[in-house]
Amino acid sequence: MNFKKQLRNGILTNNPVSGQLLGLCSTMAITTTLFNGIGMGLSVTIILICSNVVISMLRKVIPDKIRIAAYIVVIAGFVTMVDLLLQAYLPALSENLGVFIPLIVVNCIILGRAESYASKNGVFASAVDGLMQGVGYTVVLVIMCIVRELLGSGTFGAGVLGADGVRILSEQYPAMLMILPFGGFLTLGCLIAFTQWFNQRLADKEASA
Amino acid sequence: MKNALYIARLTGVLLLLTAVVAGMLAFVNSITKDSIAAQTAEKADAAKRQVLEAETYTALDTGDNAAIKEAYVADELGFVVRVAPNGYGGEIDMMVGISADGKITGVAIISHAETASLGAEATREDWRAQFEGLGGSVAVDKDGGAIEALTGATVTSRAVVKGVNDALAFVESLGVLE
Repeated sequence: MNFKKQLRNGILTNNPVSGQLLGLCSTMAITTTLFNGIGMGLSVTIILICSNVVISMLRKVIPDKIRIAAYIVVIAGFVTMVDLLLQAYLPALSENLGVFIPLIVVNCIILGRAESYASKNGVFASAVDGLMQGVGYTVVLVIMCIVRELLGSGTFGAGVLGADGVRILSEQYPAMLMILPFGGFLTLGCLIAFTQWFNQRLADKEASA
Repeated sequence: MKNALYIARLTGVLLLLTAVVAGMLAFVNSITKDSIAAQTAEKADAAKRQVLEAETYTALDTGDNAAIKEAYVADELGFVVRVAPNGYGGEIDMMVGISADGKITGVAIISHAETASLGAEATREDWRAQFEGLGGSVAVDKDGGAIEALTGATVTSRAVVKGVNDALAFVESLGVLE
């Protein structure tokens, strides 16, 4: 098993958001402040690792015909647990992410990894895959949060560094449209283009070396 | 016969899996239940005191008024009404304080699911402060009222206004205002 390759896959070449284009709904909706991005990224990572491990353990027990139903039961179970735990111990985060935590159940990243990786690989490899894909998702969220928060609200780290974060642009400059879904698409488009360009460059370098 | 066995196996596996997951959920629920309930109660309590500080709050019968979730008499000072108007992202659970002469003493938002940086700005203190001292019925500026709507979040602003109006109307209907 190649640890480094999986990390590179998760963050760059096969990033769940900018490579596989999965989980875009939550990416668009919650990336308005750094606090939300980190919280959502970590929640998804934890759920992804747990569901990958359990699905990999059960991969020989679950009959093929009902595999999707079985995966969804496992994923929904973990999501509800995380939701309850957040409500109980991190109420501020749970309030901000609101409906997007329960919606992780139908986040394609998790079902996608269950179907394409955990159902075919061993427990440890699946756990690592879950971690790497989760890290990839978190990295994209954090980048989008920083860009959108800076251009849309003019602050950095709202919720992480104090309630309103550090003001970088003065009040009159920030463009409201960056906070709106439109700004999300704009940021994501640029990010995907950059990742693809970077991947291409990497591939070219490797080919010529 | 072979087919029947296969179907039984499918059902069995799914049933077993669901039962295990349900069991685990019941366990997590049992350890988080109290903490969640305590937090909600604490937040509602803090909101009550925030909108109208009083020694004791006596619950009022709200009858079959669907717009009013809870209502309290706050000593001699006035009333605290809990309403939950529909905002952009679902119900906005909020508390409205109304003085004995029918003026708003404060508006607090207990929980909401509005868009961050847009509708969620309704929780900002300087925005909520606009309501203080108003009475009768309120409206956002777009509808010819005195409340300055949040930029890009007219739906949220109107929802909060509706909640406040529901509370005002309820207190008015009690017929005990000075």
